Amino acid sequence: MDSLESKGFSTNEYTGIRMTIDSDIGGTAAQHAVNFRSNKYTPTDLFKTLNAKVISQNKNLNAFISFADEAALAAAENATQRIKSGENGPLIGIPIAVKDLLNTAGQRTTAGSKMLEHFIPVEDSTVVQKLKDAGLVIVGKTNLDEFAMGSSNEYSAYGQVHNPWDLSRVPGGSSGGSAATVAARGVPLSIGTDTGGSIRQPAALCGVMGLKPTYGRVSRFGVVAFASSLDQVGPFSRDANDMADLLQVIAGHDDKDSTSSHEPVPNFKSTFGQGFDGVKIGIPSELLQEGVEDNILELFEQAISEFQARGAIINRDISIPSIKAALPVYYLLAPSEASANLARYDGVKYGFSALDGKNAEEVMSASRGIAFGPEVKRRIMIGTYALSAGYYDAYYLKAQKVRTVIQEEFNTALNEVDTIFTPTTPTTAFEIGSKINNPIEMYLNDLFTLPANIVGLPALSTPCGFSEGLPIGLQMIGKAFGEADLIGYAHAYQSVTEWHKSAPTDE
Amino acid sequence: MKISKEDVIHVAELARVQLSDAEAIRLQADLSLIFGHFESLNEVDTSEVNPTLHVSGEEITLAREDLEKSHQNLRKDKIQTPLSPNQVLQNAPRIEDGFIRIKGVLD
Repeated sequence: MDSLESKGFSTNEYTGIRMTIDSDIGGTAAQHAVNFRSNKYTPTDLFKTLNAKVISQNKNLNAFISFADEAALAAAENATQRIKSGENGPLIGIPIAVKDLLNTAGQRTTAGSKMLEHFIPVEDSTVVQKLKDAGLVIVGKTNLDEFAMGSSNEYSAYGQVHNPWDLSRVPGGSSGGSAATVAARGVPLSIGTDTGGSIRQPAALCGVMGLKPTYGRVSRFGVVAFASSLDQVGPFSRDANDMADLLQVIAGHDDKDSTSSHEPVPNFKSTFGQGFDGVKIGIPSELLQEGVEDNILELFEQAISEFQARGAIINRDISIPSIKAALPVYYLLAPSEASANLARYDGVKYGFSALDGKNAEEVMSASRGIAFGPEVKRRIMIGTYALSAGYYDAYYLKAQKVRTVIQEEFNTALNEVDTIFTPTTPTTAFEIGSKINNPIEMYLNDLFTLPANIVGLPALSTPCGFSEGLPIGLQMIGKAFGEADLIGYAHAYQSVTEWHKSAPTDE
Repeated sequence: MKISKEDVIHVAELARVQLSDAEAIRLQADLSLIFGHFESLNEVDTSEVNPTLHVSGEEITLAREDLEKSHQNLRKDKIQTPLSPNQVLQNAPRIEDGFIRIKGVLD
């Protein structure tokens, strides 16, 4: 897909528009919606301006793999008409970026892999279809670790994404591009996926909000599969209000995904204004014992005291004794499921195909050997080994049993408290290249985020401070289908703090 | 835990992933390290628990007569328009006369 720029849409062409909306360009979706209604500018103006902005930012950030084509311009013009005719959907005409793991009909979807370099989906994923129906305008597809496997975006076949707070550091991963562009005020909203922290961890490292909904809350149809019992699609935003609006659009049962839930979708703003009074917050002390940076612990405690000062009840006695087993459980289950899901890339039906080979099997092995990157190969190997004859009971089955134990422990804890708080990550954004040679150290990034995927619970990350100029995140884990509660807590927190309003200085 | 280079080569064959010699040596070290960490799972007593089959506890409904129950996971049996042959084949690497062409399966 070519960028609009390469098709002769020069940025200068829009100078006139940009001058009138310059001060508003970095606004939230809600601010844009107000400005659309007061005729300050139209969705078409905003799309053209932001499109030029994200293309220009990409030279430093590399947050996008591909940019919008004429279809997006047409969508923006259509949104302009919808606004003119008086429609009041909150996200009509709002520009959004979508992780390049979600199928977009007629627009290349690479999954960050050389395997799908030229793959053009026939259909939209359900989430993308819902975004389009709600009037959102997709400005581009964001960069990610290959097949969403990674915590630093160093494993993309399309180059490293850079953290907008410090370009020498990683943005987190795997949804690094989606987090980086929202942080850099490229677009107000984006979509990511989260299998072990891939929304919350980059949200924390880039200083934005990210939510992993309850397993089954959002359809996975048309999303390139990584680990099907853990994958969820979710929103990035800058504040709780925008997050509620975006989740409202994408949530709900889908006949095309049999694991999507029939649980009714509530109004995600119904909890706004309830504050923290009487909210019971649990802190699993065993998680905070080792490996967490001091500054992060300090700012985490500061956030807790904000809640406590406003009537929340802090419970430090809850215990999830087996939580340390979440890491090995995850790194057995996710690669096992991945090795099965990625068996479909055989160089026959679609995707990269090696030309040489004396028979079908050789072509298949060569195609996969050439087109898969190092982390994807490593996980396919872990999964294949764990599932192979003689090892299934010792590894995969054992991990699924420990998963049950962890789930029971979470259920017990959440009978006593309304939500569980942890830091989102044990460290701030690290230097590019500093962990790439040690897979175990890299996997430890996900220590706090993995458990929510293993037990299927919703969890969000919201900015709660800075350590040496780098943002850190507060994670809230909720009860099943309790997204409205979590967004409500974040909304209350954001009404008494300013962390979510900080932006990196423009390059 | 020690995983041999022969193990790595065998698993790569099962996974149909061609590896270079350097990749096989690297993966031998990585897998030995990673599977060593998995041993810690044995510290959790699971003698009394069942494995998790579905994380939300919603049953996958397979019987037709259960379709009207609350957690129906199968759609109604109604005719839908399938993808056209051109759509199905549009991303295939090698096509000939409306078929996907592959190398021989037997030598």
